Amino acid sequence: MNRNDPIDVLLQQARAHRAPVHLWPAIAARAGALRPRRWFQYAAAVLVGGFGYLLVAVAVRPRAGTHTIDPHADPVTAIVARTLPFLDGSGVEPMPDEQRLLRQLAARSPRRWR
Amino acid sequence: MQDLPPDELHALQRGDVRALAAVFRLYGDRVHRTCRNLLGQHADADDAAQEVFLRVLDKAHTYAGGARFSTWLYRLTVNHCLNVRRRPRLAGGDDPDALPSPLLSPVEAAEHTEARSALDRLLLRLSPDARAIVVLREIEQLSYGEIAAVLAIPVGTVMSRLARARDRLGELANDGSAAFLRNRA
Repeated sequence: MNRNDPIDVLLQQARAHRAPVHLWPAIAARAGALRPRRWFQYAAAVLVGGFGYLLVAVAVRPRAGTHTIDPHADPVTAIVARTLPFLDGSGVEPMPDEQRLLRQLAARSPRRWR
Repeated sequence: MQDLPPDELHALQRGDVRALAAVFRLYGDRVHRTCRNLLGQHADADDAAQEVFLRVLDKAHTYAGGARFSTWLYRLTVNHCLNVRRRPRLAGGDDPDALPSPLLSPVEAAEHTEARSALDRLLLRLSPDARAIVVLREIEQLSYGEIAAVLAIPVGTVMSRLARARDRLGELANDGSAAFLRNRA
């Protein structure tokens, strides 16, 4: 723009503008107040994340009778795991021969099941 | 334009307020001046500049180093001011720029105040995009490439918008609302 242009004169004056002296103290005070809050937010985020992890871990953890056991590798555990949910009375009533089978298995593995 | 030293940048990205003080020393005048010229009110500019520097502290970790730090800071400043302009105005206070400075004679103070008001009237009659380009080019004196990086638009668009904005400023200067400019010419 032209130096003698009145608009350019105004723009030159605007270029000389300086930030007021009270600006930095105000920013520093607010920034200082912001820092502890940020640490608090980080701590809260870690706590919430940990709690969420626990919830998920509990929800997906393997339960008795729900995970696959190779019957060839460990036949006793496989049969017991399949049968155990029916023995608390809340599920389907176990067949008499299943109970007899369990008793036989327990008799064959005294250290483990007695 | 001096850029932020790398050690200060790393400290800033760790949330160090002392590094923010270094940023303010380097860019405080520019940020406040940009806010002042984009918003047209000193009180608004104070608030906006404070918000910009708090955002710098909060968002410094997002600065990837692709552009200069000053470009990133100008982008933050311009975007914040354009967002502020979109919101409805709250109560307006006294404008310190409109008050006579004790260092100036009464006549000089009156001229200064009138000049500032005339520039505000001119800038505020431009569209926000045009105002941002005029402020960045004519007051902050950034290059076309820097303006393009700040506003995330092509250089050609910067040049065409700047030409249109200059034409519009010329029209406004000849308008009846800019009597002050005719007196000075």
